[in-house]
Amino acid sequence: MSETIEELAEILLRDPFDTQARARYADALYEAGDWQAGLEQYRLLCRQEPTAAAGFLGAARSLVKLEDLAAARIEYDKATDCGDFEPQDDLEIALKDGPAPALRVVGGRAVPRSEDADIVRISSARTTRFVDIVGMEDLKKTVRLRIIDPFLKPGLFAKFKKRAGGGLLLYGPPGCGKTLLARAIANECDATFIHVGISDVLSMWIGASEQNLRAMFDKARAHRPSVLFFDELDALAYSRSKAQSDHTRSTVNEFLNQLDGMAGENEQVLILAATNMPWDVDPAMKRPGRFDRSIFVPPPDAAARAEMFRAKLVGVPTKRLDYQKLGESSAYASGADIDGIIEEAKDRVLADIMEGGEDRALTQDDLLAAIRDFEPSTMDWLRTARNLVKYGGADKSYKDVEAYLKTARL
Amino acid sequence: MTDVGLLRQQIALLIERKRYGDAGRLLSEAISSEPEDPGFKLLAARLGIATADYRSARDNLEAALAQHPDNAEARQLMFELLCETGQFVEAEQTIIGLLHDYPEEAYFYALYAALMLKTLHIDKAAALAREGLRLDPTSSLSQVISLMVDVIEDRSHDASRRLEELVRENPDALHVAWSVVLVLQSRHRYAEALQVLRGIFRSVPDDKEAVAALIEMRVLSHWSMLPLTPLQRYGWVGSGVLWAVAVLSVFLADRFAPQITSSLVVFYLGYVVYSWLWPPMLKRWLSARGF
Ligand SMILES: Nc1ncnc2c1ncn2[C@@H]1O[C@H](COP(=O)(O)OP(=O)(O)OP(=O)(O)O)[C@@H](O)[C@H]1O
Ligand SMILES: [Mg+2]
Repeated sequence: MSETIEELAEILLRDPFDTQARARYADALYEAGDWQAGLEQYRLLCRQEPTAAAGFLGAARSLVKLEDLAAARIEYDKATDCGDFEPQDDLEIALKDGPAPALRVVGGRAVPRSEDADIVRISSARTTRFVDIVGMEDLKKTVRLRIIDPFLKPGLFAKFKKRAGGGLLLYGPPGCGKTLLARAIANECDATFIHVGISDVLSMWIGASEQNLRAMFDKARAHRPSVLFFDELDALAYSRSKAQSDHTRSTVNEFLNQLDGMAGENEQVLILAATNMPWDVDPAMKRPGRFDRSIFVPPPDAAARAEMFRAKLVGVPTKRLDYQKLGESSAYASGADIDGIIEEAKDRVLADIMEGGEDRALTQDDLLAAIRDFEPSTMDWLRTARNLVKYGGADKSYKDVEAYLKTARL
Repeated sequence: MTDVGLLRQQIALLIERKRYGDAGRLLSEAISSEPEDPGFKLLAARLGIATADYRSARDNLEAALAQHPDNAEARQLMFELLCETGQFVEAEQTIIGLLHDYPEEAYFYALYAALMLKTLHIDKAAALAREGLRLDPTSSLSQVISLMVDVIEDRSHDASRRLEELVRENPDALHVAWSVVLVLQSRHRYAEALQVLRGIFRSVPDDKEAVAALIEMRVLSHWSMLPLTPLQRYGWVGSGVLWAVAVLSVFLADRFAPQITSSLVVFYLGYVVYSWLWPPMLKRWLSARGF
């Protein structure tokens, strides 16, 4: 019970299924006054242990602190359904005068959209932390050492004449958590997160893309410390040699200008990007001072897949599932694929019930059958990457992929 | 620009960036709200050509051409579609029609030249590319084709390396480079073909055809394939002649130098087995090990 928050986070990094550690972690966050982060952990705990009251009670307490009494009451009500529930005086008192949950209107859309609405102050909003990302242990360590620490402690790195600048490019097959990781990095850096997704890119194409792009960078500089994240970088910085239009050329040129211009003013602005198609990104983007560091985000390993199955099946009627087996048999599946597999399995059950009329839960066999019929969406990507490594000639830009492919025996 | 114009531009850029899923979604929304807009039909055709959905491409182009038979963009797309589907005669008619209406358009000359290259009419391709360059000395497609003709004619020293670079740097070059590979292969210049194919592969690593062709070409250009040159170069005739020579030499040996007959037989059998088993083994080995 005497561990620090950091120690608990480490324990959870090693074993995300350790629910007792997670409970202690959530309590510690709550005690430290980080109710939002505590709430996230309690919610995770609820998903991992839906029959225990502790998670719901913790969530309710956090929500009380965050002054969302209506939501707190909902959590408290859920706790009363659990077997080990015991009435909690502090919560009874705090929630006595709150509005009844039935009256609560969930449509939170009425919040006026301010100019900065797309800028999310991570520490106060829905958080993704490193502990929420399943697997990827080595990767997280690398990112912490090479990206987050230099960002948080620029002085130390300057002393050793280590350059902190330059962007980071995350690449890898679709659906394996690049966007998730970028969010988590921003959060660990405790910085404003500016997300430039494909829809922003589309609207950027309206009119002068260069100006719109410049505006994004200006916004990031105005909100330091900030993380400027370009999701789907290939759409924005498509290789100039593969696209005829002047449009592509001028956008990429402006992008390069901005990245180079950042050199003097990039303190406290971290530039991240993600892409599924690193080979379509203009090569000039990868020169020193720009996105000179790239990190391969591989598909989840068996343990991570097992954990994803567990998390995504919470609340679904299931019968004696062997998550480890599910993780082992769904080789190469991405996070998004696991969603697909689960949907397919549910369809099977529902079709059975429609035909036979007998109600039944989702079984291991349903899931295994769905897995068998499933072609992992990472395969094409991995094959292409393997071919590039093998036949592309001497090119060291994919050496991480090469190492992964060796272990994956593809 | 109007809203429709903006939407068109977004879709065109998405297609250019190979984001076919996003493009298709935007396009179907656009078409359901503006079913008669010819611009969207052309974009749908472009998307169809890019994703090898030739039926949809053709339907959309025919609809667009029914509205505006003279639309140059639609006709050019039709030309591209016909080239893709191997209807070279119709393609030639289409491009001749376009040149008739736009005799000063260098790009159409270049397109015609590309078609001629594809159908192995090298001289004609060279002449058309020259004409394109005369009309517009900066026409990149014409430049690419001239260079490719140089490679084929073996005129410029180091041309295939330049070509590899060109393919990597010029989007126009990619389409034409495939033709050059075919020509070089038909002339048994495997090493050069391999170099051009590498350029193609590096710029489109997700193209399965490029990978397969690259491996095939690596096998053909491997030194251990040298003894099989007569079979590769002259096909059935080659193996027939080889067979006849074998039978004759064994017969003669039997007659005049019986002590070497058995070695000769073993040699020929070895050769047969080698020609049979080695290429697939080499292919396996090279594709497993990489090159
Ligand atoms: N390691 C992980 N831990 C937890 N969830 C994950 C992990 N990897 C992927 N997921 C889940 O998979 C889904 C897809 O992840 P995400 O959007 O981050 O992938 P991506 O790599 O950005 O994909 P794309 O290339 O398609 O944009 C998300 O819903 C995420 O929750
Ligand atoms: Mg993403």
